[in-house]
Amino acid sequence: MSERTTVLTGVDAARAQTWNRLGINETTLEVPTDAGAAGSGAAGAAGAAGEPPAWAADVRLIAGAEAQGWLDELTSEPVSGVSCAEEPHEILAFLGDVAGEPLDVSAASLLCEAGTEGAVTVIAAGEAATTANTCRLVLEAGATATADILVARPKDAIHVQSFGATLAEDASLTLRVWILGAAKTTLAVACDLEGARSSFASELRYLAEGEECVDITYDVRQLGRDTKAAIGASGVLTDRAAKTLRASIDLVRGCKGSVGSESETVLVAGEGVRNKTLPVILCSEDDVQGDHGATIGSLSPEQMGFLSSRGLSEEDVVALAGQAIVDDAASALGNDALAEIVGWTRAARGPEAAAQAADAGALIHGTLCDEASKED
Amino acid sequence: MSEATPRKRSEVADVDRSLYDFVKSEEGYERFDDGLSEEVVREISAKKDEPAWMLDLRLRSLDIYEHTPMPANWGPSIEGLDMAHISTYVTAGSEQATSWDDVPEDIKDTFERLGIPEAERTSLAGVGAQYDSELVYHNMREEVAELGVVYSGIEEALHEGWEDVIREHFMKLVPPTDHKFAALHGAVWSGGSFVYVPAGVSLPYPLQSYFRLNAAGAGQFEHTLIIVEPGADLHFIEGCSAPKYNVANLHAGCVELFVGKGARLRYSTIENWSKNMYNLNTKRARVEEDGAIEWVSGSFGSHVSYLYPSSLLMGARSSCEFTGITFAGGGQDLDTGCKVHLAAPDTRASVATKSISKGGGVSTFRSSVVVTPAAERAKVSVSCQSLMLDDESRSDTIPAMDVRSATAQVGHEATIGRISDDTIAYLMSRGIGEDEARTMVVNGFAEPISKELPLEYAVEMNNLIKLEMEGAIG
Repeated sequence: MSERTTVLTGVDAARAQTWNRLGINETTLEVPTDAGAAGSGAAGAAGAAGEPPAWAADVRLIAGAEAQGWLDELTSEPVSGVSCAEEPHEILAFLGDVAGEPLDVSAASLLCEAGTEGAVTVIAAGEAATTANTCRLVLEAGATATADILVARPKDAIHVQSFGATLAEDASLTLRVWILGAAKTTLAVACDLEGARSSFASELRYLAEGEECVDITYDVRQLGRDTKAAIGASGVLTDRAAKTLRASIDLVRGCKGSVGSESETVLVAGEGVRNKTLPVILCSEDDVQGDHGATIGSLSPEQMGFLSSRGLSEEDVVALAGQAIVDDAASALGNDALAEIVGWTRAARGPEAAAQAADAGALIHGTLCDEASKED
Repeated sequence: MSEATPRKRSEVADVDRSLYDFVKSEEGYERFDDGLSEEVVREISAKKDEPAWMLDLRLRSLDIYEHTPMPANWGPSIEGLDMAHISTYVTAGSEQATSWDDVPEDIKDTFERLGIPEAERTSLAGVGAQYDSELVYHNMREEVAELGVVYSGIEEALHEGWEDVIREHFMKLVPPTDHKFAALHGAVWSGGSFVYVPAGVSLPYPLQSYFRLNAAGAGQFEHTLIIVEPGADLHFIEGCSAPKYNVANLHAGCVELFVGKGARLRYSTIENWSKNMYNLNTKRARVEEDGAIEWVSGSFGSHVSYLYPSSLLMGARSSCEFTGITFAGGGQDLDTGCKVHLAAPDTRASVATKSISKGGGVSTFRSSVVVTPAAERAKVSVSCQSLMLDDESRSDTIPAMDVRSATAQVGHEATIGRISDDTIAYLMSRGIGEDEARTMVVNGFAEPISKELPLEYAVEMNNLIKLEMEGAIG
């Protein structure tokens, strides 16, 4: 951590707030203020330095004024790309592999023109103490995009993620997030389904152990008719880990025929675990469906009885549940190097982590950049 | 459905408040000047000939009120409420009676129109009736008194041998520091009931307190303190109403419930304040080992409500059930729900709420469930269902959960929507007419709540949610 730090307040704030004494409305974040190491390697078409491209400037972001200001200030080389009919575009942002630097901040913007496909992958892994990234996606009519975010950081590292997307009619966005480790990870996702029949689906999976803290805010606004939003979150908390999930679906007047759902499953497996959830549904339209479901808890005696009869201890089951999340990330991202890095994350979150992360980071960075260049 | 084929609308009537919307003259009443000051607080205390500790509590509460801001980041607006235009004390000046014959005629007429004396005769163990700032009637059946049950005005109890008990419990569950209007209540409270149920006593019938605010531009600040000793059982019913004025009225009552080991308390409320009322009420229960608190709550009235009965489950195996319904029509912003704090092993909490929004009404379900590390093997289920009857209204759910126990199980579900076309189609495929099908669905929506209410209140609720089905579904 840099000697010069600042405390950001109002980070990841929920739009619909509740009793302040619960400490669930927002979080704070201590981050370095040094700008020396902004903008690590990223594969994609280069955009103008500083500000995002004009087409991405209005994308809503909800990390908070202070946090987004900090991100914007430290991002010196934002990356942007345009996916067009002739050339589908993919942006890869790899964070954390700038050796010796305390801070690695980047930004990526992707415009998917009408009817095209695009992809963004953000991988935060490696040595830098603090990594941070802003993603802005604009999907025109009928465009399809996937966004994958993997956070696999050492136990003393921080990752700050800000993500915003705007979808026109019939556009579709799939966001997959895996948070496998970091002292603190903040993730703020804003999505505006402006066009009719646009859809947003997100699956978040997290694994937090030791003293790790995961802080997540989703804010989906359904503005167009017949839009669909689905937010799924599941994770495992062990030891003294903490997790806060604020998920808001806003069924705005006029979004007739829209459906919004949130679901969450949390396996609590530690005496000192703290799990906070604020699942919000805001509704000002009658012809809609909104629902939320959450299951939070440990393995029940009945479940344990069954598992014991199969020779599994509670520790075994928790370990399997955690490994399943890691395997899911490795499998979904479809890359041997990713499998290696997530394997490292599970196996070696100890003193040697930094060096291993650097090695694995170099490997994964190189592999994916190679793949990107092949596609180009 | 295509845009060219607009849905036909079925109409659900607004709550019919004609039963409650009648005004009695204030001529001859004593009314304190509008506004809040130390002088007003001292005057209320002096009028009640209170012990010094109560005056101290009032003054401390006033200080807290003056230094406590309203939360700026959540809750409905209370901009229309100006304490400078609220009288904190209004009384008809009559003595508290134990016979309806001794109650002044116009006040007696009020409660007769509300059906209170009749309910007392047929199905209640005791009744308290408050009119503006003071109780005007309090009575309990002799056979209940013989069981050792105490049911009286809280001010009377304070002067009749219960001061030590009241001092030990008064504003201990809801301290003046809890929030701004708890502090206001501590400063200017007046009236309310005191109930003491001895260990092992089960009341055969409910007790009921009814609060009527008649005066325009006034506040009502009654305090209800109930102590249910170990092994005892009580059902307490609270009703409240007011006529509608074009100026703001304020209700900032406080309810403190102490449920002993193995005891059970059911607390039922039908709130039907008028649409100029700011209902900023605070209710809290502390439950000891093996005890149970059951809340049944119907919120139909008021312009703005902040109402979240809370349960502190402090004893092992203690439990809480909360069943609530909220109906928000035009001009109403009702922020209701509950809080549950589980702080002991094997505690249980079950929350089931329904809300209906129409005509531009805003209904917000807000809850918090906190499971502390001590709440080993705690189990919680929360269910919230909201029905939107038009696209002018609003329905939000804002439930918060904080789970810190490794062995707890917490489940939560919430749904918002209109009456499902599929459901109507299914019922029609079974030969049920369209309007009837719709009526069945809406009745079924409210039924889990109404069946928990005492019969006369269930009937009242069904009247309140009078459904007028017309036209076909879209």
